Amino acid sequence: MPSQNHLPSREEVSAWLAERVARHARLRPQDVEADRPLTDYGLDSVSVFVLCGEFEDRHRVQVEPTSVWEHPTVRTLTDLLMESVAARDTLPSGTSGGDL
Amino acid sequence: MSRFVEIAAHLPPVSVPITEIGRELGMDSAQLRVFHRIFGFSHVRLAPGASQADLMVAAVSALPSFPEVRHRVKYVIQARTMPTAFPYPLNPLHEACGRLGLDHAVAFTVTEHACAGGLLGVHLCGEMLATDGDPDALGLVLTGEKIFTRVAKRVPGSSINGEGTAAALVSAAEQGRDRILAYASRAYPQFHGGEEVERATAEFQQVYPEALAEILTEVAAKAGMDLADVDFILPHNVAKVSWQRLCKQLGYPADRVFLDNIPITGHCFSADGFAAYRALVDNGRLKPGQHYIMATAGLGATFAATLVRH
Repeated sequence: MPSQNHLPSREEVSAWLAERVARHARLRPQDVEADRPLTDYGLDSVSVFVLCGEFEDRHRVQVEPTSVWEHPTVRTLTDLLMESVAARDTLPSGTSGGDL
Repeated sequence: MSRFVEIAAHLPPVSVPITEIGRELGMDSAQLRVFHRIFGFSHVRLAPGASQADLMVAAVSALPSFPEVRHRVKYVIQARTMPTAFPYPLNPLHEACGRLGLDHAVAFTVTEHACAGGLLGVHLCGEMLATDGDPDALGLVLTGEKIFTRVAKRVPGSSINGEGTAAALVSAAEQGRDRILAYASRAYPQFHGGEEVERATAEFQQVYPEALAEILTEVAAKAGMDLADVDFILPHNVAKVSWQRLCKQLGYPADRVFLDNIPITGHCFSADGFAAYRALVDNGRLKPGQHYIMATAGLGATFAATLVRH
């Protein structure tokens, strides 16, 4: 598990997400297409919120829950997670993880 | 149009944490965390040992005026999500009517609108009463259900369900409080049937917010109002984040959507909007002259909304 102070790069976030989706769908990470809807891999909204929650815990960020549905693929969800990483420095001190 | 004469809710006394139900349903701690923190669920009310008829009788018995108006009730409509709940010849609606002294009333069930059936029942009552000819006649709409099966305990990705029930007395008279100004309903039959719904999940997720937004704006327009002028939305108790997202899209203030019952009752099929009304009135938050929309979606799929002036 990475240090919570580590700021992940876009590539790391995308690879982590693809790995999680692949695990859910029992595929190899390289078989997960970045622009294919996550629902095609069997992820319902609860599963996607679970992923976001795990990401929040790992990186001490807050993901905006109402925006999750607007980011239905690995590529777009990576965008959302990266927004939360970029906003991390603005979180109040002592905040650990977000709403998810 | 018609009006609500009185609305009552029955919240069974046993409050069960969703962690208990979630474990029975095979949910892991991460999924339960989402249901709790993002979707807003905490407990549901259940009535162990009580039958469907018991729950309906309890809701009607909570209507203060019922003993005085019982003889005026001409139509009783039970709105049910579960199409088949009892083996023939058991009939909980007729049993409840018998126990309530309503054998004289015409009683039937609507099911095809699922959790939107309560609002359909209110609309049907209004239509029947309008053509009835007896200005004193009343309709009685019964909502909320006994949870018998694993399937009935939750709506996947959306809610955990409880056994709260409600009863609404409807009159064709237009004078008085809670006048119904408009009703709107739209069906999306491509989502009918369990297997098809499973296959159509991605499409349903796409359609759901658009259809709910459309029905809200449509019912407001039918009443000659802007949605922004509606004081409260009384929603079906599904994931609160889905309502927050919808409000963001519509530019409607999320604090005017009554979500307070979600952690207390869970989703109680067609009864949510009626239980929300009861809570708003009992807490003094709904003032005379204010407007509210009861809004809901039923699996299968029907979206419905009723706009009322208190």
